[in-house]
Amino acid sequence: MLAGGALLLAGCGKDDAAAPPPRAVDALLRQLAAERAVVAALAPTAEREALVSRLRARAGVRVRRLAAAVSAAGGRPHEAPQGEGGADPEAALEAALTAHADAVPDLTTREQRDLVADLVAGAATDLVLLGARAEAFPGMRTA
Amino acid sequence: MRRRDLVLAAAGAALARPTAAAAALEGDAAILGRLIAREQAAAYAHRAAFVPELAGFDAHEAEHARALRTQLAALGREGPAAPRTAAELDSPARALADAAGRPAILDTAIALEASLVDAYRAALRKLAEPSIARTAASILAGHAQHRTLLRLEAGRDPVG
Repeated sequence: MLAGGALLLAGCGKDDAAAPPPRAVDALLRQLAAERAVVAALAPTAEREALVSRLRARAGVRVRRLAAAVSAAGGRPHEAPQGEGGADPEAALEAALTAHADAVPDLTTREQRDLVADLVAGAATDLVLLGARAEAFPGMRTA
Repeated sequence: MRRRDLVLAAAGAALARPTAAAAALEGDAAILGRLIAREQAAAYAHRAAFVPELAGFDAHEAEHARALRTQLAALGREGPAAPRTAAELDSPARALADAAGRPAILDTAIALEASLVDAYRAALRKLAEPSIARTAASILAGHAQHRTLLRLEAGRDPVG
């Protein structure tokens, strides 16, 4: 009886431990959606063509890294929506940067933290290349 | 300030947890102390080597130090004292403070900001408290922006 109860408890614990942590996947999917929106917002244009093309390529790299991280964490990259064109690129980059910073608490492995550090730095860099002012706390929500 | 209140509340909640978080918070406190020292040194160096291209960077570094100090205080610790002379600076900050002439100032400022990005990247691997880790990520973004603008001013590839 006691042994059975212990096994039952052990089984419950095992089931709990086996369940994938959903928070990392959810956070990564939000980041992926935000970066896909950046790519869509950086539509080819005659104005600043070289810069926009370069930023679009950089955002594409971030999308690919995030998609791989979603898969590695047990998620499905296609669950993150594709971005829609017509959005303001600077606003899209600010949203992506905030999504990356917001994700930090949910990304706990060394690989995920290295990834988010790269994503934060990349999005922040691209923001100033687009003409945004440098800030002390980019991506930090204040409201 | 709202951000400060949020930081204090989050750190206080973490402290209320028993032993599980104690070791992690101890580690966070040590990291915060080192980052505060780096930021204070960077602020000193940017002030010492002032050129128009760096205007405002010293204020950003000082804001970083204040935000980190608030979080460290919420963990019940005091941060390091601010440097009073260039001799007290870490190596990358000392190089900027000692630089003479615009090219040397830009070169050493780029190296300083790059070293700060690296420091926060390393810190993010270890920081446990969510609000502290999130703040560190935002500060990392700020240093990445500084590095980019400085590289542009120096005529380098901004993302090279």
